[in-house]
Amino acid sequence: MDSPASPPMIEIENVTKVFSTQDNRNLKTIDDIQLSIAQGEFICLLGPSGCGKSTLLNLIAGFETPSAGIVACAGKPVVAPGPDRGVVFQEHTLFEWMTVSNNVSFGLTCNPDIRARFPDAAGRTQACIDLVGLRGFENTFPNFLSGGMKQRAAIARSLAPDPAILLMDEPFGALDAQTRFIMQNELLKIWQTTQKTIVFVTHSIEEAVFLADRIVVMTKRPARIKEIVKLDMPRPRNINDPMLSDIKSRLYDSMASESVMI
Amino acid sequence: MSAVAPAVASRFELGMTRALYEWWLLIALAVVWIAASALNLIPNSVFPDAQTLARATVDLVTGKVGVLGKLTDHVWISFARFAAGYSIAAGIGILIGLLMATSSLIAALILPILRLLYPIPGLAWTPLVIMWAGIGENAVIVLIFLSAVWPIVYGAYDGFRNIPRNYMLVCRQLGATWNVRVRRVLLPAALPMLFSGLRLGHGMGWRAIVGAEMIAAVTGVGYMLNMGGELRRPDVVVVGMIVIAIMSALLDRFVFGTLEDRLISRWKR
Amino acid sequence: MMKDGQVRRYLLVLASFAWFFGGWWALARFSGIPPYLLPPPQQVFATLFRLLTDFDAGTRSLWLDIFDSIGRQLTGFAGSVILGVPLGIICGYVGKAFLGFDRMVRLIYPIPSIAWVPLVLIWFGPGSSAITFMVFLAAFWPIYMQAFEGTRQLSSKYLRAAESLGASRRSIILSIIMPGGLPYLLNGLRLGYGESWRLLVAAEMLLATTGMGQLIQVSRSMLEVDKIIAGMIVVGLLGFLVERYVFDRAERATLGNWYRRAEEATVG
Repeated sequence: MDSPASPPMIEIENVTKVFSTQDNRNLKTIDDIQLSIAQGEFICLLGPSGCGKSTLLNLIAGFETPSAGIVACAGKPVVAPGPDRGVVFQEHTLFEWMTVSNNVSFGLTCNPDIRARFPDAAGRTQACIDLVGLRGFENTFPNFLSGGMKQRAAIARSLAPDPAILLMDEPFGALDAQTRFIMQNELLKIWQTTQKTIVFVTHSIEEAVFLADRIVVMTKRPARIKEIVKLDMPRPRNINDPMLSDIKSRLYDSMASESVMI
Repeated sequence: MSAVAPAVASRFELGMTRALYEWWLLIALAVVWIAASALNLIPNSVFPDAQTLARATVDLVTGKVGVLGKLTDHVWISFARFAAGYSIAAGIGILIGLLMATSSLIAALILPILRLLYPIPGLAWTPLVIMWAGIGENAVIVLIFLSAVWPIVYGAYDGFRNIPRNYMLVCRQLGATWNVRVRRVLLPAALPMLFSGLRLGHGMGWRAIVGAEMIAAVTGVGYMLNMGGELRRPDVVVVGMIVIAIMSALLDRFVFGTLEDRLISRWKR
Repeated sequence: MMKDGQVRRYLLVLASFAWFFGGWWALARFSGIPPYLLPPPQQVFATLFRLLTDFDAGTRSLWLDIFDSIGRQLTGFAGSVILGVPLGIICGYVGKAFLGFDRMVRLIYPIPSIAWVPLVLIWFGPGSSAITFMVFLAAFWPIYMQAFEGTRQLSSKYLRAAESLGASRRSIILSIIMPGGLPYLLNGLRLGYGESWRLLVAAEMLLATTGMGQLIQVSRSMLEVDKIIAGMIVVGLLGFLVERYVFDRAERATLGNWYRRAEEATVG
């Protein structure tokens, strides 16, 4: 394991997750994973679909609890979801009945603690909307936005309470190729401005190579870490860069042996 | 300017022809009716002519038709009964639907009973309800409740059950309080289906009140209507029918229509 | 495994009946409400059984009332199908001049069917023809509306294409409106049937001397609550059976292949 210089933002220690199915069988989705993620790092979890990478993300988010091992964020063990870890889902998460600005401000007004932390909710909301490039659409309802704009709004909402960590579960999976590319660039810009630690789940090698500092390749179920690929190239990256192509073809080989099942 | 004028005129003409296509039959019927009335060709024992209908309306509004009482009183009584029965149906219906949506066990225990009771027409309860509650206010309110409650239960159940799971995940992640979750997320998310149940229930309840008042009351528009029939007064009956149609259309269009525009159509596609 | 789930489902249905009828029984037994107001369920079912099997010459059999009601229902319903479907298609498709009729229907529609009872009483006098007319009236609206709506939807979807290919009106109606409008048609029939069955009972209370509605109404004046509830059960059951075994079947036979496949896919 390579050890980052700064103290780790997310520490995953020997984490195993076992689900019990309806007919009382145990299904191990994650097997003894060890990973530490530094402050400000952009990590992509890459693996075949259904392998358990989303489960790992849910463990960090606190939606699930590990069957064994510990997940810790900023030194504290994760026991429940919280506003320190923003989550962006693939789709269907913007509240349809709220305008963009009400969606974004929701996280700033939904409990007393957070209201005390952000006395200027309106200003913070506007700043987040500006950050994702949605100025002018503050009063639009989500159903009247394009897919890409919806995801911008979702990102703004998760950024609003100023989380240290952003967890993204295939956020661009439902977008068309061109919008996806634009959004990837936008996300990198946002990441560079805000210095968040990002954990990004994807099954697209291209996407992972384009975005990540480190790519965590996972095996098919039960998911283990197969290898961790470090990319030191500056951004924005050119996807046709020969060095990236090498890494890509290596990842293809690595994934190919995992995608037999399912 | 001269180039614009013909276009406007033709659009106006188009609108006129369209209106004519839509209204010709009604206009024709009205003309025939009024003409026949003027010539005293309509037997008033079958259908009122224009002058009889006008007189009946005035008499009913001023309360000159002895036994039948004053139209406005009947209208208010019917409205009040409807409001009472419907509010109870809405409250209990939403509660049951919510309970069913929160627990699949409760749903499994209630759904077969709903399937059992739902096919029984609301008005078929009338004799039973009269035996329990006596003729009058309570019976009518219970009957409105029994007619309106089913679609509301189903609407609430479907609405609350189909809330995407991710909404709750988002709430947990952002740390929303329960108050906020219910008020700002759960209710609005369930609203479209809930609302269509409420609207359907309103239609059912409205039909029920007319029937219930015919059988189980001695006041209200339904009662007046029924008495018109008993007294063989088509003029009174037709006035009653028009009043009922207007009342129900007013409720549906203005109350429910406006609410739907305000609460749902703005954001739902 | 599949069986386990089924057993569980049946048990739950059983449990739901248990609490409902158990609660009813307990209420009748322990609440102090006199049995002439709330008879226990077993008494109601005994009465129902007695009524269904009583063929004494001296008493009027329940079956006669059932047949009376069904007869009126079917006659009136048939009338509204014969009139409502063609009118809906004509007004929806053939067009302009018939819009006048559609406008009139929409103006009358907000009048609840039951409000017609007094006028029908004046026109027909009490009896079977008045009730049959009420059934016709109640079933007509949904059937006409759905036929109209279906035709409208189809016209905007396919008819332009068909017309541009030079199809004749006759072949358009036969090959596009009829099959494509089937879901609307079935929906209209189902709604119309349910609506008129509901109305029938009320109309029979007000207008008839026989039939299920009258049976319930008369039982009230005789203070026979068990008979009232037995009558309600028969009415509910008859409505349910038609819904389940006629309309559900018809829908599945005509449109069901997709549904069934989709269902199997989600269940299995």
